[in-house]
Amino acid sequence: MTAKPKTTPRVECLAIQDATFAFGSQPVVKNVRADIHAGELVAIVGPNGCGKSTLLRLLVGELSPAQGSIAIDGVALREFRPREMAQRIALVPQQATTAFAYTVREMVLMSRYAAHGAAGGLTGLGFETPADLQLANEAMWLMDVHSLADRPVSSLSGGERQRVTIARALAQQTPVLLLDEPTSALDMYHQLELWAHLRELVQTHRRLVVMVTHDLNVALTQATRALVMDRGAIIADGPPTDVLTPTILQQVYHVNAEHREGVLRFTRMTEHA
Amino acid sequence: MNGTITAKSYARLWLLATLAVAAVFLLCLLCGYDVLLRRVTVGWPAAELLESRMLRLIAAAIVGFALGAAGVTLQALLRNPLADPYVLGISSGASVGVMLWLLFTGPLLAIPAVATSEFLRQLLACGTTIPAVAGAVVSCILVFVLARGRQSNSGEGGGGGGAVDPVTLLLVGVVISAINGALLMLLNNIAPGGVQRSLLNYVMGSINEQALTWWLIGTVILVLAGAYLPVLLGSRALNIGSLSDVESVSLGVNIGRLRTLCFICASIMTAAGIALSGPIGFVGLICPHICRSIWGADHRKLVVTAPLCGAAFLMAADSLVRVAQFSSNGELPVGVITALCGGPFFMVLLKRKGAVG
Repeated sequence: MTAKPKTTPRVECLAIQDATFAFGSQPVVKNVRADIHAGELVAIVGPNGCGKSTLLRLLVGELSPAQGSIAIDGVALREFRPREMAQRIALVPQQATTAFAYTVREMVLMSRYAAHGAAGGLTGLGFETPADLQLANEAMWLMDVHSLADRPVSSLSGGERQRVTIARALAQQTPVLLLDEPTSALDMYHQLELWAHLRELVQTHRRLVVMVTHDLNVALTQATRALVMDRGAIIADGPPTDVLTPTILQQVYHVNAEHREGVLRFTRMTEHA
Repeated sequence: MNGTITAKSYARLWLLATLAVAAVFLLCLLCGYDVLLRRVTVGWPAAELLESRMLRLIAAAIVGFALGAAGVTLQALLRNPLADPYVLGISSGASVGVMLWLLFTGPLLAIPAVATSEFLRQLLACGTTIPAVAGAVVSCILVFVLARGRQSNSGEGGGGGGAVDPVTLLLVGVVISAINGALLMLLNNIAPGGVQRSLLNYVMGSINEQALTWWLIGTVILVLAGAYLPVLLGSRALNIGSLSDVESVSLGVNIGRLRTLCFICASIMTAAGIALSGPIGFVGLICPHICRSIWGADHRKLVVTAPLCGAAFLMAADSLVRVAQFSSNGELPVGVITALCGGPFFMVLLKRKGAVG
């Protein structure tokens, strides 16, 4: 490959164009269409098994849509080499487990693999530059795992591991950041820190953030846009306050919902029946 | 600093590990120095003895290196620190290839034209590497296909993403080893007498001094280097590949290509070792683990240290069987030593699974 510009690539629009995907004969994502733009913090919500995580796997390029396509600024994902993809899109998976005892620093530094040496085949052996160390350190400070840097990831608690995984994605320095339930194990302090940082990424740096979450109040208060998925399809798309309405939530989750003082409260439907 | 590698620290690691291996080599060469001394005092030339010892030590080093490298590669690839070419049946697959070759080329050696030609005999000996590689690759593919199962929605979000369950892995290894073991017995049964005799030692894994030539060693070194280099150069990607599939992709590793490359290379490395020695067990399990406890989990370090650790370990083990006369029944196969060390080690690892590191 020829010389690449050293600056981080920019992404203005992540376009999902009628993407469909099935595991075997079971369709999981059906005709999903959405254009996500830089400066948006999109929350994807929906019941278990509605295809949220599969959609993220499509967006990161691990799976390819059977029909339709996903494109970055008009270029289909499959046109990018793996490293080029990883320079643009980072993912925080739901759970990151490893059989080996990598230290926190080693784990976070893995994010810097894609940034260098896209010179064909002989690219695996490489050493981190001081700039890489700097980026990893900043990400570890941000996620408050700096003091754990030399501990093996396998010795950490669930929440600490989650912060390490988020730090790794942040250190990847991509214009697009995908997060799959990033706060499922985080305490309130670290949740608030993460939201503050994501908002800054979106507002100040015009990054593009997509997160899957089960916390509808988080979607309501933190996101700039919400996508509601049900059985593989997007059934509502828009500003969280317009989309996360009692009617839609009742239809999707089969729960009673009401807005009270800017917060959603839920009750079981049977209790009201 | 812990967890980061610079060109300087990497070079230092290579130098240190190589020096350690060289030291072990010299020590092992002098094992049984009394025999050497006696020869010298009687006025016999010691050079011949030294040469045959060196040949054997170098062979042991190569086999250990190959198995250590194959072990660390397989472990990363299967995302499981219990993987080992012997346990998975890849070693025995290579042995089946070697046996087949011996069987079919045995009659050729009876032809006077072949028997008198040094070149042809060497060619036949060096040719073992080809069927060994074939047998190893077939076994390796079987292990992977059987152990991994099909793509599914499990581990949604890519959590598990292709980590092989240890129990499944071991079961697959048992099955493949059993089939290969049966094939070896079958081949032995139909083989002419000359081939038969050496089988028992071969199956246990031993370095046969008589069969070693510089030609064979040279061939094996070439094959081994060809398979080791891609893994060495890909060792940073190996770190990422040892996570889940979805993480590999999102961090920029072409996991499909890495997997294919590493499987082929690990098979070839195993086969290169097996061509010299027969299936010596557990080296690929013990050495990466020892290195991990010293240098941490980074595969850039492990791909350097585990093979060199394997070389040192096998040279020491082979010198032990050479010097120690356990009985009058001839030399003990070195595979007995490695299995006696590695078996219990393996059990401890299995027991500690979950805290493995």
